[in-house]
Amino acid sequence: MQKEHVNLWRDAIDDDAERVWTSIREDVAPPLRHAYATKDALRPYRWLLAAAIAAVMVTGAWNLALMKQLADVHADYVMASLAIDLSENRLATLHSLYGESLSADAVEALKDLVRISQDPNIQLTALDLLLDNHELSKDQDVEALLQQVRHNGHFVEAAVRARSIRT
Amino acid sequence: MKKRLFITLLMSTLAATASHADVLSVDNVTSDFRLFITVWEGEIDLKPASDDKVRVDVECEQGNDAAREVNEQGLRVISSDQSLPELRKSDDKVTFKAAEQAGVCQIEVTAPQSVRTQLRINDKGKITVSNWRARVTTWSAGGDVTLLDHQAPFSVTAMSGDANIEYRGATLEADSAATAANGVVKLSLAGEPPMTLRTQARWGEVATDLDAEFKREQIDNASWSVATLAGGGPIVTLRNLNSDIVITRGD
Repeated sequence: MQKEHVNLWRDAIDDDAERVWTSIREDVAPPLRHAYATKDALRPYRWLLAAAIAAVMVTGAWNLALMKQLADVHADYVMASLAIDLSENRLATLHSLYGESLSADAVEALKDLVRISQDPNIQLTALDLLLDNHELSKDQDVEALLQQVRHNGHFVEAAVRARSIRT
Repeated sequence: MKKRLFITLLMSTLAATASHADVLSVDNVTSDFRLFITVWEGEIDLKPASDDKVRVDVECEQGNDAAREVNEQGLRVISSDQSLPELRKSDDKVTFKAAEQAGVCQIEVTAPQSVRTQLRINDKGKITVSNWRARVTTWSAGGDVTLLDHQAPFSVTAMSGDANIEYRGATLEADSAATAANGVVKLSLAGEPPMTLRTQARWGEVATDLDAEFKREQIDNASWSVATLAGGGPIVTLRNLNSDIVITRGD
C-alpha cells in the first residue's frame, strides 16, 4: 500500500523524483526547543517576569495599607457622622453600614443612637444594624437596651418583637 | 325640669373644658434655622409662608383630665406655665411646644419652606405638610402623617396610622425613610427620580405599578425588596411593621 503511494508520487514529480526524495530525507527539522526556546532568548523575559512579580507584590502590600487607612478614615467618618445631630447625615451614614462588619466603637455608637435619638427611623435603622451583625444575640442584651431607650420606647420594642417573631 | 337639667349639664360641660386660641409669630427666619414643632395631642398643618416669618395659629381645648390636674399639695391646678403653648426663637432654632397640659391643640403653621423642620405629636393626632422644600423629620404616635407635593429628603413615622408621601422632586438630595405600624406606607413618585428603594413589609405585601425590578435581600430573618430607579441614588427605606407598602406613579 505504502509502496504504491510512493510510486504514484514518483510518477507525478517525474525526473526530479530522486532529488526531491533525497532532499526530503536530509532536511531534518531541528528540535523545537532548540529553534524557538533557547536559554539566551528567555533571559530578558525572566527579568521582566521577576520585575512584574515584584511590582505586583509591592502594589498588593501598598493596596492593603491603603485599604486599612481608608477603613480607618471611614470608621472615623462614621463615628463623626453619627455624633452630628442632623438626621439626614445620620440616616445616610447608617445606610452606608449595611453589609459592613462593625467595630466595637461603632456598636456602642449604634446603641447610643437607639437610646437617645428622637427620630424612630434612626432608632430602627441602628437597631437593624445591631441585629444584622449579631450584636444583640442574647435576649438579655435586647432587654437591657430597650430599658434604656428614652424616646418612642413602645414603638422600638414593637419593632424588635416584630422582627424576632418572624423567625 | 328637663330644660333645667339640660342647662345644668351644658354649664357643667363648659366649666370642665377651657379653650385657648392665639396667634404666635417670630420674624427673620432664614434657611439656616431649624424649626421644631411639638404637640402632645391634636393636629399639625404646615404650609409655606410668603415671607420670612414663622406664624403659628393655635387653638387648644383642655378636657376634663387637664383641668383636674392636681399639684404636689393636692390642690387642683387651674392653669400653669405649661398649659400655654409657646413659640421661642434662639440663634438657630425656632421652637413651638404645646405640652400635655395645653390639651388638644389644632396647630396651623406657616414658615419659610427652605427651613429644615421637625414635627412631632406625642400622643394622638395627624400631621400634614404641604409643598415643603427642605428636609422634614416628622412622626406621630397615633395618627396619619402626610407629605403633599414634597420635594426634599424626609423621615416619616406613623406609629399608629398611615405614612403618606407624595414625592414630586426630580431628584432626591439625601437618604430618606418612612415607617408605619397599624397603617399603610404609601409613596407616590412623579416620574422616576434616581433613587434606591429598600422596602420591608413584615406582615403585609409590597405592591407597585412601577416597572422597576425588585430583588430580594435576606439578612438573617430580615427580608428586604430592593429596587434601583434610574440608575440608583440616595436610599429610601420604606418599612411597615405589620401591614402593606404601596409605591405608585404620581400624576
